[in-house]
Amino acid sequence: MSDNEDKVATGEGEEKKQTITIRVKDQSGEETFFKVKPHTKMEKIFSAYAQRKGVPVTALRFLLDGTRIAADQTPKMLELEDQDQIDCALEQVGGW
Amino acid sequence: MEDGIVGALAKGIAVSSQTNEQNEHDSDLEEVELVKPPAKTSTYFRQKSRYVAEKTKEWDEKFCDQVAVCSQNWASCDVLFHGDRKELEIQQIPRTKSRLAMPKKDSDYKKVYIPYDDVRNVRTHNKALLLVLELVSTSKICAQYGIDGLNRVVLRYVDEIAYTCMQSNFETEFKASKAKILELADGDVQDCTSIFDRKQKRKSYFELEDPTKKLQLQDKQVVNEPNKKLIDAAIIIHELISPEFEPRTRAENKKKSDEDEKNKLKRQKARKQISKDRVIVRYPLQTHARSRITLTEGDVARLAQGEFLNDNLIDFFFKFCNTQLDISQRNTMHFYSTHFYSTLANMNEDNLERIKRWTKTVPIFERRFLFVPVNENCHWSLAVICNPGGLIKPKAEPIVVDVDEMPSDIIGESQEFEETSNDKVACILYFDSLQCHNKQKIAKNLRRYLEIEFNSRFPEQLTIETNKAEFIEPDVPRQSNSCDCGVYLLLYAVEVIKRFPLGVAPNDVANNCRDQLSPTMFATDAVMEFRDYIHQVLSCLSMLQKHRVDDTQETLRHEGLTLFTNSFEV
Repeated sequence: MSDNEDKVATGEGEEKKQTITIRVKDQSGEETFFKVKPHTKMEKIFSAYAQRKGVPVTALRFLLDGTRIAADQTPKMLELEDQDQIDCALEQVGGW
Repeated sequence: MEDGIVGALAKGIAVSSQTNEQNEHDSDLEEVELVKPPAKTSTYFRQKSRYVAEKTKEWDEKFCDQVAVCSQNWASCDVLFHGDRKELEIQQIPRTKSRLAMPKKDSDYKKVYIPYDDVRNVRTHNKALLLVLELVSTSKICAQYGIDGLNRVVLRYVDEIAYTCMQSNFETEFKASKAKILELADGDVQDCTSIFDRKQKRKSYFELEDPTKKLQLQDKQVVNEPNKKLIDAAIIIHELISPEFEPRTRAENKKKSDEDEKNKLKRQKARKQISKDRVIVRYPLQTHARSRITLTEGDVARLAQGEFLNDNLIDFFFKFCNTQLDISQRNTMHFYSTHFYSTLANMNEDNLERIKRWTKTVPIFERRFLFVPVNENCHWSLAVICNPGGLIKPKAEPIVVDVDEMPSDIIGESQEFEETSNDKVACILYFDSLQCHNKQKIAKNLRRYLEIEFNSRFPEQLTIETNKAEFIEPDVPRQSNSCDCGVYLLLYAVEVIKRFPLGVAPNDVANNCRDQLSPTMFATDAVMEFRDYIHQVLSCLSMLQKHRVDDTQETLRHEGLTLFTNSFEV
């Protein structure tokens, strides 16, 4: 009984403590670091980053190895590890 | 007699409470002195006076849901008739929620007396449950509250019974006065109620709920006016959550009117932004899918004629296009992200590493077509690398391949190239609807990319001759306006897929693909239709996502939205 409880407690503790650092790199090569929990939605990082840069979130694109990251995904879903890098690109528009 | 005293007393309280707010009613003050008002007006008194009023039923006390006095919004009010004094009283009622949020001072409750003679006309609207009192422009009330020349009091009801009661009250009360009861024209309803729409935001001041919740709720409904209000509400709430928020009194509000003007502009901007940010669809619909693209209302708005397409739309369409293909067909082509080329173009050591990771999982040298959308200087063009495997040649010395040490996919690729390289010739098809991008540079970059990819994938025994890849610019329909190049890009891609079901053959390269691609391969009308088509696809997908239905080929066929019809089943 007590063993079980201990296990559960430590398991949860590890889960909680486990934060990873994600690097967001923009086109000019500037890096911004974000400490996140594995289950935090990427949305949070995006909006924090956009706020720092002073642009609306919709004008930014976040790419992981060339694939888009959706706002409702989490680092866990993306299998992000500590010190992993995300690329940030600006919206591209074209007409003429 | 007794009633009269109570009435006068209550009025005295009311007037003295007014003095806290404004000292303009000198004539009223004189009256008050006669009646000897209570020394101070506390909330207790105020409540008591109201209580007395209800008890004695001296006045017809009627609750009105929304009241606008000139250009001010008073929300819920009591409307009282003082038949004896020929005055109409409108008194603001504290909202229960706001009372919890911030204790209000007596002076915060507004109250106004409108002499019957000040009312020019009473207009009624039975459908909208509106009562509009048109005041004479000389009225004191107008001077006090009518900032932008609005001299009217608007009463709006939610309850029809209350409305009809009040309407009949007006009829009886105003019988003797010069005011006429008239119908309100339908066209004026909007004008009269617009002030309440502003008010709706105020109401939400204190509902400190999660703004995103409201937006989600709004997502489920069709876009109409109430939704706009919700968005407004969300913005206001959002602003008020900020730490510097302090409860403001009405007096402070007046001082801040200038600031408010600025904020209003800001809010309008924010409102626009929020409505733009509303997510229409996340594609692919499956939540576990990789590389989901979030399309917002702002992106969809770009499908209107004359608007520029952005990377979201292009990426979305390529993804959609890919899923519309048969499995066998799908494995012969690869669509790059729009950001691929821009990353490739400003290549440095760091980007090089990055680029390699982009197509890590895709055996690009096995593909017949690699679609590379190019965005530079606000213009889209499309490069298609055809049969890149055809560039790979064995080196002069005999090949010794240690099969055991090689990863399996490389074996597959090298075998593939041996089979196909003979009848397929590598080339780069380039489509630019305005012919304004630097072709040489693009060709150079793509060749370099192929080289890099090759070096990271293949054993040393092989070599790549990127210069053999001919750069072809076929004659295709060109853009006649200055906004459609994104659509042209997509159309070129679709045409290439349609017209080269088996890939580009050597004789195609020899005659510049003239057999397949011509300047008349699609009409100018197709461009507009194509915008419509993407719009339809998006709205269909949005519906499917909302109802959690999978976007299978059948569903899309049912909607008539499949991209490739029988023409493609070769």
